[in-house]
Amino acid sequence: MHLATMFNSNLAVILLILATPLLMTLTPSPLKNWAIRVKTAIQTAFFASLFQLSLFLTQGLHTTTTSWHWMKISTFNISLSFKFDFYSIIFIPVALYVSWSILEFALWYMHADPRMDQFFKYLLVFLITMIILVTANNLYQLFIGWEGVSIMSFLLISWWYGRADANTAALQAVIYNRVGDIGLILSMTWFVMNLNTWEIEQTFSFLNDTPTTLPLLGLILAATGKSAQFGLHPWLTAAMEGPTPVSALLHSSTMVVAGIFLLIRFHPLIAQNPTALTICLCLGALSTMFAATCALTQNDLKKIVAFSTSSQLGLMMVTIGLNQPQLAFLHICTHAFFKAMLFLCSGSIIHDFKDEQDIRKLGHVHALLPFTSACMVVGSLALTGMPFLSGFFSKDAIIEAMNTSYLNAWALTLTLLATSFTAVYNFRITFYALMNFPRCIFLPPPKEDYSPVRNPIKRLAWGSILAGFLITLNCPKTETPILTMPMTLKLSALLVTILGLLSAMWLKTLMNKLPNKSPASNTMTQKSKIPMDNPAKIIFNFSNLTGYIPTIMHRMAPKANLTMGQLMATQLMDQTWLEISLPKGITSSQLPLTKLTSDIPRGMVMTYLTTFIFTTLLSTLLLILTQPDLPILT
Amino acid sequence: MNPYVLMILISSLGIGTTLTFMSSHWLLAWMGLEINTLAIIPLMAQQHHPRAVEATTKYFLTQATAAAMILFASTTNAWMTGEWNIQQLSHSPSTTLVTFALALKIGLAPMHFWMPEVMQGLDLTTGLIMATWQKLAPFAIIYQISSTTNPTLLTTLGILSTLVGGWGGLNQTQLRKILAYSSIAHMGWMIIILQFMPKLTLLNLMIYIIMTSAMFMMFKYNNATKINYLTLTWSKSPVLATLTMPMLLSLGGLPPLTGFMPKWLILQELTKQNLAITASIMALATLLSLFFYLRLCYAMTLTLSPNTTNTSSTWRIKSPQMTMPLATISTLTIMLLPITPTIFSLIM
Amino acid sequence: TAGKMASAYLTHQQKVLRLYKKSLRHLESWYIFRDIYRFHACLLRARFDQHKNEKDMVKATLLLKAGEEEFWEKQHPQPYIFPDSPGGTSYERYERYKVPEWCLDYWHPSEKAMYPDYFAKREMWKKLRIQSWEREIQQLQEETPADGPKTEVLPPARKEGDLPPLWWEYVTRPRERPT
Repeated sequence: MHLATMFNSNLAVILLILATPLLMTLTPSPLKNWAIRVKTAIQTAFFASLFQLSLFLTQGLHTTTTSWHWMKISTFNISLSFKFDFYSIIFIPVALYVSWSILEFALWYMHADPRMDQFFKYLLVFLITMIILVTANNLYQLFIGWEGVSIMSFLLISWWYGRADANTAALQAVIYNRVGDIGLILSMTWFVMNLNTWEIEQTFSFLNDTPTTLPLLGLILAATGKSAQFGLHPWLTAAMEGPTPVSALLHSSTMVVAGIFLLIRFHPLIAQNPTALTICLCLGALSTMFAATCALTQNDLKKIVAFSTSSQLGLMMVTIGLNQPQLAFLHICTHAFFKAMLFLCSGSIIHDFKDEQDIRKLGHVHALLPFTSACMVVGSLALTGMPFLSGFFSKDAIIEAMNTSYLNAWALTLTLLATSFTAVYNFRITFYALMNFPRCIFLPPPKEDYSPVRNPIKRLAWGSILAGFLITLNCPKTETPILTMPMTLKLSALLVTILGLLSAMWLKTLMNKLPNKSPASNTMTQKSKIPMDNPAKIIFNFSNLTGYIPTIMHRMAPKANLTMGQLMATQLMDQTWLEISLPKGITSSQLPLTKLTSDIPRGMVMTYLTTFIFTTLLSTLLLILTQPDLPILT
Repeated sequence: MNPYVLMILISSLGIGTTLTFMSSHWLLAWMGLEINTLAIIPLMAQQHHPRAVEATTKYFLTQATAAAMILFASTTNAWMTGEWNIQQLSHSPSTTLVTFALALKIGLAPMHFWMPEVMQGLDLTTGLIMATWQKLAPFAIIYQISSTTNPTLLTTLGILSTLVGGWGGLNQTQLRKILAYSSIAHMGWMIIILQFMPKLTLLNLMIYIIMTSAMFMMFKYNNATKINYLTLTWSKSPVLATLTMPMLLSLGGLPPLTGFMPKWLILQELTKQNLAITASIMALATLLSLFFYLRLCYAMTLTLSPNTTNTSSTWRIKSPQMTMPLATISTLTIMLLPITPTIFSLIM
Repeated sequence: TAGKMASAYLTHQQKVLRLYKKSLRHLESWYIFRDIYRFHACLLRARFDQHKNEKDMVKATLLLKAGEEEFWEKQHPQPYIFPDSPGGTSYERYERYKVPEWCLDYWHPSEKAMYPDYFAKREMWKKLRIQSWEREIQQLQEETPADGPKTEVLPPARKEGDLPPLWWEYVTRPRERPT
């Protein structure tokens, strides 16, 4: 009992520490160095969270739930309930650690921004809502956190609101997330109507007697929106319009994993439902493959990293589909470290190269920014699953679990292929951006010696190297892992990665040799200027233009919609209904009858009497005919 | 016309109708109708111009035919059933014949043709009598035979009259003809409800008489017989011109004016009888009438004729005509709706 | 791409130059390494130079058409764009920090007193602008041909020590990036 109190009070302390800078803005006189205070608050909160982490680990606790009564709507209870289990206790320090580093980096990255304090406030509010989300044991509470991160992500993506593209990207994020919210709200409604509860724990007790496919589909839709799975994925890469710290914090390590986190929370329900599991597996495989394919040919440094995030989220979804929520969670945590670091390194490069983020114009960074480059390589290696870096512990376990399962071979193949692509695009970044001769227009002076650049990246690098090991070490095993398997299966993750790397290197040498192969002809009609045959070009364009999906979904669909709307408004509404059908239609239908009515009486008495006689006779006749037994003359 | 003769004619006009009211015997009722017809004939023809004479002749022929048919049918009924009482019209061919004869008398479609033409030949005062007082005697009989008449027949007559009243009026520029068609449409409303709630027929007749009297008096006050005369009414009596618009809309049956009351009650009763389609047709057919009422409103209050008119605009001198009845009746035309419950409980 | 709208008004020479420039840009997007790009840029230059002296306009137009079609066929789906050019990653990014220049006129005197040099100069500019306005406009109108200006570029200053026309448009302007 007193343990639960300690967890609660610890969370209260963390939230209080985080809220302090926000409360301080209420003072009438503006504070100096407010941004640094935010960073310090997060740093302090991280150390405070270590307390509950160590308590959790030493006490061997499984889970603690605290529930306070909040409000009551007729028979429906909404409580303020927190859940402290492995997931939330591990995730809070990870999120705080990553945010601390990122905010410290942002002190340097955003130092020229006149509204830096506001930027930090947004990030802080974002972090608080994220903590509300992960500790929630109640769907209502979770929904608050869920919407909170969406709103903050909208504000942060459109940080440079003078830019049309940034506004478009922010709108995309909001709209795609709202599509996902339809699913979450559907599930919440279903839980209220059928189970009369929003407590996540309580929903599991109705497992056996209620079909749960519908709410699970809703939850999967919610996760698809938030975690940018295939179909609702374009917003994630578009979100790179935000400043790099935003990309690092929101769109790689915290917010986008909220969808996966939701599914992990609801895992006991999903595990009982094969349909939901299969959907997760296939959706995840498709997402990871698609995103990896797109990442192959991108030229924007941040876009490549963003697509790799998208791909890793797909991998997490696959893991949910494999019925391995713990592995998915492990991947969330390790991924947070090295992905945040990759973004910070990109930010460092971009900032030093005066906003240049096209890898075709970078190059030779390893000499100019050796520290950043080294960390970038560490991050890339961790991402590809280099043994004993943190990515290895989660990624290898996932691939292994997949290989030893008897599930969908199609999904398995796609995931393996995507894993090999990881090596390709990471090699591509390293090769183009870090190695070779410089291709930029000017050579900037290296500026990475500032401590707000070095320290955060360094801390995250330690995380990228050690986090996987540490978390795996302390992770309570709920399922017995398969301990024996063939050599090839065990090494498959590594093998496909190495294969990918080799093919990437081969492609590079090919690229270098190509000009010598193409015949240098100088007639105007010669068509071999581009070293590509048609099928290759089609694949290249598909990947480079991200599967044409932005074009289809953001241009053709709205265009069709607007065209239809215009047709409806002008042709159906204005011309047909308001013109032909109603005014003209009524006129043309009434006019003949009006003319007839006024034409028949020509002032002839004959007409009057004839119609009278005929009508009377006809009616009498009809009367007699319809009533044959009528006494007429009797 | 000699005032004595005029007095005799007018009192006969009153006595004929009253006679029909009070009789329960077919012969007496017929006599009342005949006296009434014979009394109005000289009144109609008192202006000795061909149009009046023509109208009189037409009126005489149709009314005589109708009266003869009534006599024939009631005699047949007496022959078949041995019963002269009006309410005991149990022989169905006779009932049909009487219904048609009365329909011809009040001008229901398709026996309505005489109505606009006769009306057009009369001056506005006689027209007023034609459109109001002359309807009372036939309706006294119709009300009494309502329980024995054929429902299909009544519904057909009612719908047809409302439609013809609407269509006929659309094409008119003559005010008296428009009022004749308006009368036909209103008669349709009265007939359609006869089988379900005869009291509503009487209510509708009463309200119709009030509204149409107001219109005739207004036209009389302005000496208007064509639509384009109406465009200048504002110069003669602006208040009356303003009031005419609600009066016309009341005639068209728009809330919150008096004319809405019978339409509302009739539609409600029809719906209660599960005749939603009939009710819809009636309501939609009234839109046709509403169109020409609106056209009168438009001509009268919303526009000034853009071209030079044949009529000279009149000075705003005090009219020698009596305005008290007009004032009373136009107030009634516009403002009776709130006392619907009172009226309803009075006639029920 | 910038010339799309005006293509009807461009001379043949301008069209060829624009084709050459955008071909170079796309070539640069395809061939990442500078040495390879240089090689291909030379080839491209050679192909353009080959028909440099084409006098027959029909042939020249056909060549231009073939060139445009080839460009369309071989363009890069994601060409390199400079960060601060339209479509680039930092285009319009600092737009919202730019304060219109006239806002300075509304500074409080105590604020203005903090930058005495600048505001003294500024007052001079404003005075000069009011003085020279009439003359500038009149001169510009006289120089403009009757059928409208041939180019959007303003003429330089006419005399030694004179001011260029509409100099006040660019003598003081907001900062490009925040500091």
